[in-house]
Amino acid sequence: MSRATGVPSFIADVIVALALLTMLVALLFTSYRVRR
Amino acid sequence: MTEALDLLFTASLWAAVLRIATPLIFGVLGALLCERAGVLNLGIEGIMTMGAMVGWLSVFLGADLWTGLLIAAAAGALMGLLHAMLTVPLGLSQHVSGLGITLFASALAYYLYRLIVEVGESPPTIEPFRPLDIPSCRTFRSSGRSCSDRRHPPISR
Repeated sequence: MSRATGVPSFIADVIVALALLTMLVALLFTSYRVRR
Repeated sequence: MTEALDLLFTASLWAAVLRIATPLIFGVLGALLCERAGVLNLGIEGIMTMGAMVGWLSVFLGADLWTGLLIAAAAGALMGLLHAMLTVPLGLSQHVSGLGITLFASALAYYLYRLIVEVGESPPTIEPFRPLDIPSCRTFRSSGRSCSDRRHPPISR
């Protein structure tokens, strides 16, 4: 992850954690449906 | 074999056990509260790390020791609030959000450290609390080490 993004490892860890939490909240939205 | 058994009965060993286990006991007490409330809190490690880092940083940047303690508690409470927001009103997976909080808080603590503190040859230090003089602990001193006369962890001294 650190090499892929080209940033130091401690910033890459923050990015990974934020991605995990974002995915978790995104999973919540899959239980809803857009109504016309 | 008998030497190992003798070690179990020395006062200095149990003083060290008490000293090292105390922060873990605080964490376990928090986990116990969460479990009784019906929430599996896997984010305790990150919450403790974040509180410790923010408290230490505030003292390092010039705050009072007791103020640093309050700031550490507030930072831990803030991270706990984030975990509570994810698990209780949103109803997300307690396992994943707990592990996510641990990953996020420990990474953020390390990031803040690298961002704010200049890394030199020697690790940065702060002036810690004085050792507490407990009268009943004085009896340990005759047997070598005292439970109130121990040096602090390397980062604080």
